[in-house]
Amino acid sequence: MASFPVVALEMGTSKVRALVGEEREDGYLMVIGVGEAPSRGVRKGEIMDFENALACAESVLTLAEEQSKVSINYVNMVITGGHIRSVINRGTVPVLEAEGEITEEAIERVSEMARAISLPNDRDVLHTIHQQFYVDDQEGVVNPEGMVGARLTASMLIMHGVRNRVVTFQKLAQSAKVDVDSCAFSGLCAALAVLTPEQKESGCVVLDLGAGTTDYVVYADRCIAAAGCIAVGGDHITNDLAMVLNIPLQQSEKLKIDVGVNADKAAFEQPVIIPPSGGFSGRSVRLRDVYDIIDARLDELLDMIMADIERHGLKKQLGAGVVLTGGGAYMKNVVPYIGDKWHMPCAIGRPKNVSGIAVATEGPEFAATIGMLRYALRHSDESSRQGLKGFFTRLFGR
Amino acid sequence: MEHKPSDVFKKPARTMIVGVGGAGLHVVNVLLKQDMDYPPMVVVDTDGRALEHSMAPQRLQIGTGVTEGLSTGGDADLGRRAANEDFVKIRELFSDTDMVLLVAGLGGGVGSGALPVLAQTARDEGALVISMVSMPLALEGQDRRDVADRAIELAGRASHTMICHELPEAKQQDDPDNQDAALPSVLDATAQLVGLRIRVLWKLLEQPGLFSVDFAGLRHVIQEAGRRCFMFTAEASGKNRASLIVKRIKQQMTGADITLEESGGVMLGFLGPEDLTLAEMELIVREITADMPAGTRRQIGVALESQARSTMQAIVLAGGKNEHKPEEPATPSDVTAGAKRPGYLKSPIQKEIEFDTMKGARGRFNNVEPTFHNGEDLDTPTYIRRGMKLSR
Repeated sequence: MASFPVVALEMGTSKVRALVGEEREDGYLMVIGVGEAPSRGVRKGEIMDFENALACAESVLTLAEEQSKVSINYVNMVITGGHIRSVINRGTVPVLEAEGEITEEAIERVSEMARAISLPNDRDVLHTIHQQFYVDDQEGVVNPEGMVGARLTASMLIMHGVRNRVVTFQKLAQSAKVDVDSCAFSGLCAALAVLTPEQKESGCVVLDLGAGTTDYVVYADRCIAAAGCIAVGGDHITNDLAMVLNIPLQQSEKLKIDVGVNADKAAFEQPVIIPPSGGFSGRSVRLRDVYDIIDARLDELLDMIMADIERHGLKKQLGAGVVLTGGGAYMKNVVPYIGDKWHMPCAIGRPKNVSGIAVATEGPEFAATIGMLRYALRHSDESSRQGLKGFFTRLFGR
Repeated sequence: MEHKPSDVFKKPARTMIVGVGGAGLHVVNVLLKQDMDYPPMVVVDTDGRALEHSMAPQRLQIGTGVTEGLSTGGDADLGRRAANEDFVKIRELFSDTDMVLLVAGLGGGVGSGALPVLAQTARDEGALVISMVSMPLALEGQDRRDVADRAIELAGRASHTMICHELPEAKQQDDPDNQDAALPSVLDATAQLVGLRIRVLWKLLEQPGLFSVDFAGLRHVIQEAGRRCFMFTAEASGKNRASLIVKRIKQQMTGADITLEESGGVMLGFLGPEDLTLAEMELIVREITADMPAGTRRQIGVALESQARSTMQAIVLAGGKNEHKPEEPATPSDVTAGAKRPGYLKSPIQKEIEFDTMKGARGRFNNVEPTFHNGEDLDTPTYIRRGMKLSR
């Protein structure tokens, strides 16, 4: 028996997508409906024009509905945006039980403490994700229940964002006549869709190269060690090329994908012809200039992310390297470029254990939406049971 | 793919030829007119009228809700949506197959749009998928070729292997008389060529031959070289059949933009009568692989056919150019197309742009809340913020 179908909605900067999926008995995710449309009204992952964004959302939901023959009442929203931040919070409790045995209750208490952080008034918690426990001085405890100690500490990765912007997404869904079941950060969703247990074990970073934002999630020691979002994406590269070379956006978008980046800094003096179109008379630019412009932007972006990874002391723990998702993964030579720059393996992440409609199940650009489906399926599954301690650990951890 | 050897012969139904779109339908029609044994054929299209005229015993119409039973009018996106709409029917079609040969012409709607979906579905159903596609004619224009290139990318990823051929091959095929051939006969010749390829490939993979080639071997050849393969076919009979085959294959190779020297891997397959001699095989293999570097992977397969009289057929499947060659990144595919115009090479390319006036410029992000990082507005191009200059 396949599960009840769930719906994921992603309001991306370049594309709006809705997927309908159900879980088959063998654990495969079956995508039974896809709606996709070019996005209007979203910039850098955030809604800038409510009316246009609403029209997009309505059209993709209708497409997905028609194809899957499922009537959509609830959606699970993928959200992103430069306002999303992560912070690691720790909570410590003394173990009060006789003989210092750690019980389920103590775990509940310490988790509660680790979750409690004070945020500015305008911010809300999006996710709280268990990282690890410490029993006295022992690090990296996965499940302390039954262990003996005097002091129990839990560390928790807390993701938070500006409340109004998150509420805007929910309001958009409501205006499209559907209710929001859950919201999840796009980077986490992408990781959920593409990573294998081995990759999580050996440590890796998932880079979701979106049009509006670049989201990253770092796994180390089988837990999510860092996550974040930078409001710089593929649109910026397109815009850079258009501004510096003085060409139309449409042409620079094509240039970005076709020429891409080059890890080898040899001087390419060849001209690149930019064909004429709609009022633009066409021109020729130097290949090297295109490389320089894109490299400068990508370098800066990668440096910012690496700075955050190094701040957490994680650079040496990324044995499985970089996994790229999002439409940016299609940029020519981007995989070897990142691999060379960071001196680690780099690969394109495609959704795992998914079948169904081919277009939606094969590409890295669908990773976040597919991950949202998986998140939603487990979410509905888990919340129907009682006592869901460590739910996020199970979901994002091992 | 585990089944008892006897199953392979008793259940040829487990291999299937699927003609996709207009060109696919045409190929299937031509093959059905031949009096030869082929695996079962199915045709898939959106156009009800085209399907009605098809001779295929099994016909599947897709996307009636999207195109209302008409053609896609060359819209690949429509083709993709049509296939997605009838995803369930397509899955049923492939539910009991081991090997699927998808035949399509690229550049149009169904062939380019639906093919990736079909390939992926067949693959998900556990079949081994080979796509045999033809590129649009050069006269059909660059936009159709762009569509075809995209379809190759998508379908290539979905299929296990992809074999791509250019239509004009038909005219280089055998005799120069074909240069003046009428259009239908050129197209039929192409279809027959595709048919020959399918038959030889099918026989080689299905029959445990003397030298057997299995699917894994075939895949290996293709993986060594990238997704796009070249395939050359020739048939000949009589005393000099071996040297005739060598001559014809060499002729085709000069026409295509490949030499075996730069190919990543080669597979030679023979489908011959029972009097095929070792000497003939030796001659062909030696001649064809003469200019291949020693380390290149090669596979040789032979299948015999009792009713073949004395006709011998050979295929040479060659991987594309080795993609690690250094000239590759310097010539970004179509954007350099204009490099042929010498004027561009001689004159200075562009003037230096004065960036000082552009400080703080944000382009399309003009009305958007800025993203600040260490006091810098990230929406302004990095290139400008760092004061880099375009070279003269």
